[in-house]
Amino acid sequence: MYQQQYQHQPAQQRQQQQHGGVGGGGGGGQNREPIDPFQARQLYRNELATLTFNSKPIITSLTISAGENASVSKVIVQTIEERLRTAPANQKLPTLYLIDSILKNVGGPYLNLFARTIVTLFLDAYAVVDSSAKASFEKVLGTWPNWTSQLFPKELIAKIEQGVRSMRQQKQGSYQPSSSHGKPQQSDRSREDPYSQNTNKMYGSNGSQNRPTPPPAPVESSGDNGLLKDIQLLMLQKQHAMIMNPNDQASAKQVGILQQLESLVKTTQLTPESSNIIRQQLAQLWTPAPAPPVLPVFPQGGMPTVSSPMPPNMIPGSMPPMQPPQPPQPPQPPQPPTMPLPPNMPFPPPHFPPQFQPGSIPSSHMMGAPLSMPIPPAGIPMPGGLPMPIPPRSMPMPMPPMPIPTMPNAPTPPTLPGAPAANLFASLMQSGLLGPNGALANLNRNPQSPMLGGTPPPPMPIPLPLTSAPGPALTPPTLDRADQSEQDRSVMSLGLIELSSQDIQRRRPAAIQVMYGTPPLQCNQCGYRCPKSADAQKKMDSHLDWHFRQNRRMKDKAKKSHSRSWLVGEEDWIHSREGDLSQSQQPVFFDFASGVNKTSKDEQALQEEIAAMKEQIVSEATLAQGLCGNDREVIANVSSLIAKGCSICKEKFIKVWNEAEEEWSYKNAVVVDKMIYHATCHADLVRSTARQAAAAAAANAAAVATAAAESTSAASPSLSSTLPTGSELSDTTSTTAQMDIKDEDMKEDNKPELKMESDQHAQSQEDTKDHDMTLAAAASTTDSDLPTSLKRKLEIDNEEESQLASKKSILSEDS
Amino acid sequence: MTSPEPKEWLLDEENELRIEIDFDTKVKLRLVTGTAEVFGTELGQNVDYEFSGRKIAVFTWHGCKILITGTCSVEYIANETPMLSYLNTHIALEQRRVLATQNNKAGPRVLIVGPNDVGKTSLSKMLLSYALRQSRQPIYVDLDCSEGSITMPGCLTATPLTEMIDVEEGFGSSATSAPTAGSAVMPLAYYYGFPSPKDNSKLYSLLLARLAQSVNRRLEEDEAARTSGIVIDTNGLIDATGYEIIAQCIKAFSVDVIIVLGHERLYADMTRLHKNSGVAVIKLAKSGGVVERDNAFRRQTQNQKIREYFYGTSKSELAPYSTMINFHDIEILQVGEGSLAPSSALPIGEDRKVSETHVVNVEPSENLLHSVLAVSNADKRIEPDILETNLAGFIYVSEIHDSRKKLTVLSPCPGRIPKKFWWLGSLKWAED
Repeated sequence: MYQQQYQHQPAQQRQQQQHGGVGGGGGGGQNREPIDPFQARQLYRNELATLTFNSKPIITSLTISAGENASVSKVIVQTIEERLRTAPANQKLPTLYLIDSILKNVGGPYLNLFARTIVTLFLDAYAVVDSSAKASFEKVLGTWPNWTSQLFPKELIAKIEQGVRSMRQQKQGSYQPSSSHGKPQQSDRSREDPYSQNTNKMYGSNGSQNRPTPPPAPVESSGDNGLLKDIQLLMLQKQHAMIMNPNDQASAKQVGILQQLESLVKTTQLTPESSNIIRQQLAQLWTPAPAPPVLPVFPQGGMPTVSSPMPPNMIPGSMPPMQPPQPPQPPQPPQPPTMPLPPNMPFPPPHFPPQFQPGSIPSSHMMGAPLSMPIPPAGIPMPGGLPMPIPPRSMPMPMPPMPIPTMPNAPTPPTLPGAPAANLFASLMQSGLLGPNGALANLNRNPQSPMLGGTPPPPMPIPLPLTSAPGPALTPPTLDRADQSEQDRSVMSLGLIELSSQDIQRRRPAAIQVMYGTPPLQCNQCGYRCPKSADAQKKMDSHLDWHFRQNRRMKDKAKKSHSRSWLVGEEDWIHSREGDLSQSQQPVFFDFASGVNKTSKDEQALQEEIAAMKEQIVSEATLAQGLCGNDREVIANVSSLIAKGCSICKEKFIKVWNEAEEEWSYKNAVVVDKMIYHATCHADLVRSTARQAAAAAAANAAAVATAAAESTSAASPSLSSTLPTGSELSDTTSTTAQMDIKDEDMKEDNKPELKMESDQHAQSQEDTKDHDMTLAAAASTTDSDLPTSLKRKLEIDNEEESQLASKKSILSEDS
Repeated sequence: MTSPEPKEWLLDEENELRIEIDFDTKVKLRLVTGTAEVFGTELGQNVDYEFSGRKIAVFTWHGCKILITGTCSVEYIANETPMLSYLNTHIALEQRRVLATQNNKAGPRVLIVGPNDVGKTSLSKMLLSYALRQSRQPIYVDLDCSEGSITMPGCLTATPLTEMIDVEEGFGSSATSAPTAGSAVMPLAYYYGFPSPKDNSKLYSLLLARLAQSVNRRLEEDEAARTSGIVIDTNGLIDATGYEIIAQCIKAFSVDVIIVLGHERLYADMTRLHKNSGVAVIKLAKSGGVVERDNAFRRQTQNQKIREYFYGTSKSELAPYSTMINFHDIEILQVGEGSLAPSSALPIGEDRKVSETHVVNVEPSENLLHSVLAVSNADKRIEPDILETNLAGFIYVSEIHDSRKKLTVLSPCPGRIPKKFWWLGSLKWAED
């Protein structure tokens, strides 16, 4: 029988585990109840309950106790297993240490007993603990293979290691509760493997079932049974709280209430609705475990979340397909089997706040024995009584107003007429058991409060919604400032580390978390993590931009070369900021001329550039970026375009450092219709087009004019009217010539500007044409000489322009 | 040279894979799963990192799997590291930075002292990397003139760091970078020119003071750097001269945290000396991975550094330029008189200090061949200012044409060499 139990137990455990829960080990212990000395279990469990933190004395004492009671080793192992499964995630490690201690110090029967379940036990717990505890888990594991005596068969340890590895891989970068996918190696029995492979399918086929919602436990035979377990488990937790914090009046009170509730549930036949309500109330009471991946130890056994008409134990996939359907778990012996609830009771889904999402099944045998307590008389159902009437006062601890609007509302009881359970609280109050300041009443008023009227004991993590509540242990004094970044807060939350040789040596698992934990954004190219902040995404984007530039630089390596630059002068070093540079991702250029002679700086810079250009036939590929936004392909095109030089004269562009804008610029460049020109060349083109048009028009006009042979009187005004045209034209070109293309940072926002420029060009071209047309029209009234004079005028303009250009070329030749 | 079969290493949590790679080998390292860091810089998963001539420790907090392609001369996993205390130190410093930001005060100014080969530079790197990972912008002050982590041996430097320290290059060779490189670090370098502070302690302390002055001036303006603080890496001198230098450092940089690495007596002395001064003194253990670097290795590292200065690394190649210079266009200077005679050799009563900071001209000659010269940013030769003028960079003398009165030099970047005063130190390099 024992063996049989174990055959299915791991399956249950795994199943529970998949949901991030840390629940108990199923019904394994139930059937053994008769063999086990009740007393021993109770004693050991109580002692174990104090192991909420890593305490050597407690572990030692528990180890000795285990050694002394080797005759009931099975019970002890079960109790410890339960403890490991049900303990909040942050309390699992001490339990593991206890197992480790028993294995190494006691050994004997414990080796075999633990060997049966250690793989799943270890991995399930490992899956839910936080990363620092994971580290410790792995450390413990690391000591097993090489222990002086063989603790476990090698293959078992190998399985655990394999599971740990796969989980670690999965965990990488994700804080989702680890799912079953990551744990194909959990099973230490090959025949169970099909099951583990099947679990995914199972959830897939189950449609509505997501990972956090567990399938009903096969062990449970009725809803009340589960409810009872809930109550008992919760009671246990509250008892822990009392042990940890003797002043915790709230917990004490809650334990009292829970005891009554338990007896009520045992003695009363509950309707499904009522038990559901009680469950919801209980959920509020539950002190949740820390944030993900650890789902709290919610006693899932009592929470049938599936509205499936199937009996709980027949939920598809809840069992290894290879195994016959599990016989329903026999009811707990001490429990009166008075819960004839139909197994296919369609329960409404429990709308628990997220952190109460049922995670796991509490081990039923854990609660197998009634705790010694006075059993009050059965509750007296109050007609229509609602658990609401108690005034919202007298919380043992100041609670903030409970906004928490984000949480789904728990269904409120009023809609359940005549539900005995709905009356339960009322009846409890009625009977004076709850008292006027009964915590449960408050609970009802604030159904979302996860922390019913009591400070959880220090080792219990405080749930997130309560950050506004005074959590003395967790809030670093005076350091919590609004302007602190999350990162700073996490650093400060470690508690001030004294810069002393002793304090520096202390192990602080959370410290690693500071370096690896919080930032969610990690660059996949270099491992850079972007610190969590409002502009994290922006930072990451610019970081990736940087990679992009670097990578392209690498690609261009073959055709372009780079050099190390000279260092800046002392004053420049003092006043410059790399931050600015790195933010805008601009190249560092050090203008040595600036320190020497400020007045001739531009010329010198130009000269230096030209000198450099003469030797360095390359230009930075990055300079082209942004010319066409961030489209990488286009960028590449543009850079090659720039490299080709002016589309007209085919000469390369002169690149200068624009001191004012602190960026690279191309001298005398303009982009029109995605073509790059020397502004002067383009102006030439514009003018020549205009000239051609004018010439053509003039030719026509001249033909007309000769034919008409009009008077010359209109000639001079029309000639004078052409003069502004010419100067306007040269104005246009000269401004264009001045316009430098800021190609380094020319991203989207610069594009319109460019476009405008080209528009202007088109416009000026149009203008010119218009002028020429009027000119032509005017010319038509003049003698045939006029077009020639106009031509000459344009030629003069041209000459001026070419003089300008030649001046520049002389300049460059000089240098 | 490289074996095609990659070797897989499984590291448990808080283990360290230590590898040593010869100078003529290239080894690729790849993190497959888990997390890992090299001197504080986190490795990216499935990114190939290439190393040559390095001694590296890959540390993991969570355990990891690493693939190594190529032959390492040494490779093993160590499970005892002082990383925990290093991390705690960082957290403690980080907390000071947070407080400094809140109260608008200066961040921690950390001085790392200890004998040679205890991992001072590695620890500096780690602390700086950690700080950078938390978006700080600390300044790295390197007073170890024998190594020259940032630029070249023989320099005292200060470098504001804003970008992550490159895993492959370390912060050494990215010191100044190609015009388009994103992570341009901009060191401020002063030329000392001797391997040990003892060789010319007066000049050393002069430069130290000047460096501190510049750093402090920058800290006044640069808020991010001010709150992030500085990390000062020292050379391994712990004798009387060493103590003097340490004392000067503490004063000049307003050091408030002294980390003594791997030396009990020094720790005791430091604790005693700074008992009630508000300066925190902590000792950290040296990592077992630190190996004693023999002169050959140091020499090779030095050569590699010089090479990287001009040619970059295989990943980021740089193109230096060869230029012909007339003898009369430049002035080559040297501090002291060639090599300094030991003070015991001086006539009784003679004050050697005079010659220690005396600048002398060096006539270009065959002797200069293969020398690495430091180009001063000075425009005029005004003593003693020129001693304290920072550097523009380095050039390498590849050829001397005595008859034509010209010399061919390798310059890091194209264009004329901006300054005419070049320092001659003891640095020589035989370009391959």
